[in-house]
Amino acid sequence: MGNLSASIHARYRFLLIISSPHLEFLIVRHIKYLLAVFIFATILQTETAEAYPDFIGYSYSSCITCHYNGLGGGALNDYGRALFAGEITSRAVFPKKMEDEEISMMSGFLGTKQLPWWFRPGLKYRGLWLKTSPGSKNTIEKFYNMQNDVNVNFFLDKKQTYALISTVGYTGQEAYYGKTNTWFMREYYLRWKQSNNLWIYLGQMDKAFGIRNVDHSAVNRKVITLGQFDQSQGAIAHFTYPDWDIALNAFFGNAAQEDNAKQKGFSIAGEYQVYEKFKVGGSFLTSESDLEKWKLAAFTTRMGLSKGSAIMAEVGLKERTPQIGVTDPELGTYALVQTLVSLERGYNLLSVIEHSKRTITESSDESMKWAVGALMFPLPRTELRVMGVNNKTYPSSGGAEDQWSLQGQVHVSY
Amino acid sequence: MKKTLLLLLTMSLLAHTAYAQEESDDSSSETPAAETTAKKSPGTRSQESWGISLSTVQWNETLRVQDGINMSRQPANYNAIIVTLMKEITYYRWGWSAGVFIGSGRANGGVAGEGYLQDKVAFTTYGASPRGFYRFSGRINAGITLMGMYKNIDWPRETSTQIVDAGRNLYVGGLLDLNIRLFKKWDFYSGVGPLTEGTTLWKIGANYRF
Repeated sequence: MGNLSASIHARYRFLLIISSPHLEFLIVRHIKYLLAVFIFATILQTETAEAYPDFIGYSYSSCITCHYNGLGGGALNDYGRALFAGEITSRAVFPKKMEDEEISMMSGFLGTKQLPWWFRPGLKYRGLWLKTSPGSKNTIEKFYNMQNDVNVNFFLDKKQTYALISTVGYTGQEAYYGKTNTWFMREYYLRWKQSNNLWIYLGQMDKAFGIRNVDHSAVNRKVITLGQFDQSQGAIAHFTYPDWDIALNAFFGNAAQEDNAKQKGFSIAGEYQVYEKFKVGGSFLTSESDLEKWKLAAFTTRMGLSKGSAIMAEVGLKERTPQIGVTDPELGTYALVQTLVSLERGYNLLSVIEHSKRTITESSDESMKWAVGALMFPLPRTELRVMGVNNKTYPSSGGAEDQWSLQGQVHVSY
Repeated sequence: MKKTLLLLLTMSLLAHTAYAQEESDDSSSETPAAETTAKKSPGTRSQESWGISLSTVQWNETLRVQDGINMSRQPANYNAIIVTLMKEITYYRWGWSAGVFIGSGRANGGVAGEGYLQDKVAFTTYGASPRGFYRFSGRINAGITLMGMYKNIDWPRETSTQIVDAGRNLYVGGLLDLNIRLFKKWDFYSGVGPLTEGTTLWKIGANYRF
């Protein structure tokens, strides 16, 4: 984790040494040096979860290295921005003589221009091009503006002990609790760093459970109440230590939901580092609304393979009990295995295999999905994905044909 | 069947004995096989190992169901567990393996209300699966598996005049695959590729190296 910060540290030390003749110049440089060291030291002080969880392949096993939320997702912090511009990204557009740290130092919201310590804004966009059944007469082509977020983050002190993190989103075509083409508050929470080992979060945020992989349509996200609009009001206490972390989350539903649909309950999620770049974890969640009750349990693991390459998996049980009428609980299973192989800096092979079964207590359909393609970071702040997706459904009775689709995705983060 | 099992068991035992005195290989390290030696050039030194894998294979096909003058095409899903005995040879950046497998599974076919519907029809399968691969690192390799596979299935007839054609029984297809070394002796393998027109075969499993 320390490569980037160490090189930035070295760069500022170098500047400090060579700028000795003029005191004013020295002081300015020294302040910048302290600021840079302070920002990165603050970020590096803690352990927890992930940038993309796959980046354990770069030895980034903790989310808080790159995100303000110690469990991952949401706005990137200064280090995350630097990473998105530097270590994981192709540097083909930059001159060879330009150092990595110089590129990373341009990753601020306004490039190299420093913003005041108490304010960090951000912009995030994701668009998805989807073509189903390519080559057939039934092909459908669509483009979705999936994510249009504005992050506004305030800090009450330079150590970022107290932080107010908020994300405002624009729905586009995808309805946010029945509303389209409207702005909404995706997340807003107060983060209190009680100590290096305890972080408290209060407000509306993602629930603590499983691996927060970015694909909100995956079997371990949307279908088990952990989708892109399933942030929930509540509180999280996140205990973090070098080899393990555990988060306790009490939640009360999303503020935009109807009261009878609000899932209220609690969850626990934790990870243990068996050895460097190998983590195992577990999660449990129980919640209910007037409409349905959920119980989830999952085993998770993430393993770095070589620089930039990783494999991770989540295997879980999901029990859904409709609250209306006399209906037995549906106890089902899901599994996800995601492999990221770094081919060259900024260019990766991505394979995601998913399996789910609605219920295992009686005969039910099996759904399987395999997405294979490229995950690319060709430019700073820019991610592209090109995936071929094969869907198989094994019905409880009879047969079904394969379904293919092609997906292209662009992600820009400022 | 007994002869086949006996043959597989014998091969397994012979392989185990033959390599019992091999020096240990810390193959879970990041270093490709030959990087650890200075005696031979990286391109020439090889490592050999025997392994066994447990995999699931899944594919879809089309059944042709004929009853009198009526002919319909029905989807069928095959799902099997196979055991593969294989030998692998790796060089610095490249490698290959060859394996024979045997397995059994269940198949569902037809669509309710469209003239044919059968569930959980047992079948067996066996074949050979040579593989060539490129080693990105000591723990990651990707390549192509050639699947020569024979399936043995009898789809039940629902009427005395019905003819159910399961298509070909012998397949030869290529899978694009990825093999991840999770631990010193354990790999995670995944491969996907076309089997017949419009159908795709998945092979996902775990390999154990003796």
